[in-house]
Amino acid sequence: MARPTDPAPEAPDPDDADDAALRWAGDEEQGRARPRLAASGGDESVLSSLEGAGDDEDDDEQRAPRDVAGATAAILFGIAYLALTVGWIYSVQLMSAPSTNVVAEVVWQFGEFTAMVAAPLWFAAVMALTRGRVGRRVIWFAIGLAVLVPWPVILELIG
Amino acid sequence: MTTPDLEEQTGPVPVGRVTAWVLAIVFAVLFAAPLFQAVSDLIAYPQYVGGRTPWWLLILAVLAPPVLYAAGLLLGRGRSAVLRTVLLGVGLCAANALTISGIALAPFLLG
Repeated sequence: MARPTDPAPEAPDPDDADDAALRWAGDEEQGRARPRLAASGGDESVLSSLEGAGDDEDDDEQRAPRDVAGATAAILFGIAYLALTVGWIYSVQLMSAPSTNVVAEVVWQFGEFTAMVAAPLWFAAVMALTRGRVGRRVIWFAIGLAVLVPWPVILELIG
Repeated sequence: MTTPDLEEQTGPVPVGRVTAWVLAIVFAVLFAAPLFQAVSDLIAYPQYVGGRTPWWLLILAVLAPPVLYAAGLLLGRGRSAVLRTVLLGVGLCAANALTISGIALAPFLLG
């Protein structure tokens, strides 16, 4: 380690060494000539937000088609799930409790209610849990469509 | 898009052990209703229709509630109490819908 009294003109400046360590080759070409890590905590958030501005634009450009696909899937499956909900509302009117027992009747009514809200609840859960993942969203929407088919009303329509 | 980033930054708040057990037990009781219905059909249906019993449908109806309950528990691992409740609730709703569908389909499959 060099002593402070040594002239040492050839010794690198510690600040320059830090700056060099915090840069990546090619930063200047990408407009990111500043050190990647801020020295003080107070400026860190400002620097990082400024630094990430260019990245955000790139990310937005990359995410745009994915967002459109996700929104399109949500709209199309939303219509299908609305149809499922209407189908289940009609379905529960076609069914009757298999038992006249009061407890069994209450349990049956609860089951019918949950069947009616199954489609919107599945839709909301998929929307909430698959943000930003279009593939998974479509898969879970499709599974819900297969599981929640309102067979009573379909069989009634068939004959 | 800030929403997914925000979700990733904050992260899920794992549910406490007691809350997890309470949710599991409450939903186990609620899942028992469609399971009981399906088991009742599995036992009673063959007595009425004999050899024409749609066994695959009755067995699927019995398997659906425990499978959906287990799926809700597995998918809810490491998530908040609200999300865990939503997942188990979705499973319960689907189990009841499948049970009603099975009841409607069984006579139709007899021909």
